[in-house]
Amino acid sequence: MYLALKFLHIFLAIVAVGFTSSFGLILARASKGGADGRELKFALDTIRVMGRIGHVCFLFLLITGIALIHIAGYPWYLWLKWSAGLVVVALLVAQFLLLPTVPKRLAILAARGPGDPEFIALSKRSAVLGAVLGVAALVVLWLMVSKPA
Amino acid sequence: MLFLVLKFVHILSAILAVGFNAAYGLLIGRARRGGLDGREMAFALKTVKLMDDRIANPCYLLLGITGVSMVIVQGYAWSYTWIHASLALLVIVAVLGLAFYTPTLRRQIDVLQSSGASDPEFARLSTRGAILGSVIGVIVIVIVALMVYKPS
Repeated sequence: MYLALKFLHIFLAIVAVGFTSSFGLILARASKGGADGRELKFALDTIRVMGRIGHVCFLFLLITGIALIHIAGYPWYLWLKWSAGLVVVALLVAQFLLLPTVPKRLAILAARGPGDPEFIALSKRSAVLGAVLGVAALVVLWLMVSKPA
Repeated sequence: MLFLVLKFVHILSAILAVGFNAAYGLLIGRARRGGLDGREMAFALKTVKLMDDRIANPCYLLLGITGVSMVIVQGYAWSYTWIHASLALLVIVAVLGLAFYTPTLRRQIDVLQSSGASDPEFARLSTRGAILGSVIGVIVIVIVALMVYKPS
């Protein structure tokens, strides 16, 4: 049971972090596409779907992580509290700050094109938030590996 | 400390390599519903090519290097099934990726640009790419299972 959950936990981490790590590269390529923003629209549409999948995976990552602690009978070590806390913060940031910008950017893109100042500002904000979440994921991974008491 | 750093790089490489690989199917699959001029498909294929060349393949290489280094640093016996089987499977993934998947992707881009997405050759190559991607995906899942269950 423990090993099956651990396998699922790692698989979810691969999909969640791996998927979301690719967003920057996909959007950077798309921003160099045609002036009509068709590549950007396609990229944002795809990222919206990938973001939802990644978000669900992060949620189940937290659930399987807590289940693993419960099954193994680990006490709530500091590294467990920190990593669980960081995942919760990342989930909240993604849910309320990052993911809502995608449909908003798509709407602006359709109405005013990729050169619109609000579109550019939202894209920059998303890039910064994405980078912050990336650093948080690296910290969680290091905590999982090094398990500092 | 060296072992922990190696383990961290190993897991991070696995996450990036496999996670990026998993994104290919979704990108290409969604591009099939794009415009008839194949612009979305061209964008998707070129993006996948870039992701594969610059991130996923170097990460697979790093995965092999850090994996072997961890076995040496930790003094694990090579005779363990999970170690030699996962290494052998990683070599198979590398061969499938470099000798078959990457050339298929390159040819898909060429055919798309010269004859368009409706060309029968493009459809044949797309099917081949999807099958190869699925086979690689299954092998990678088996490797992850070997790493977790560690059968001796």
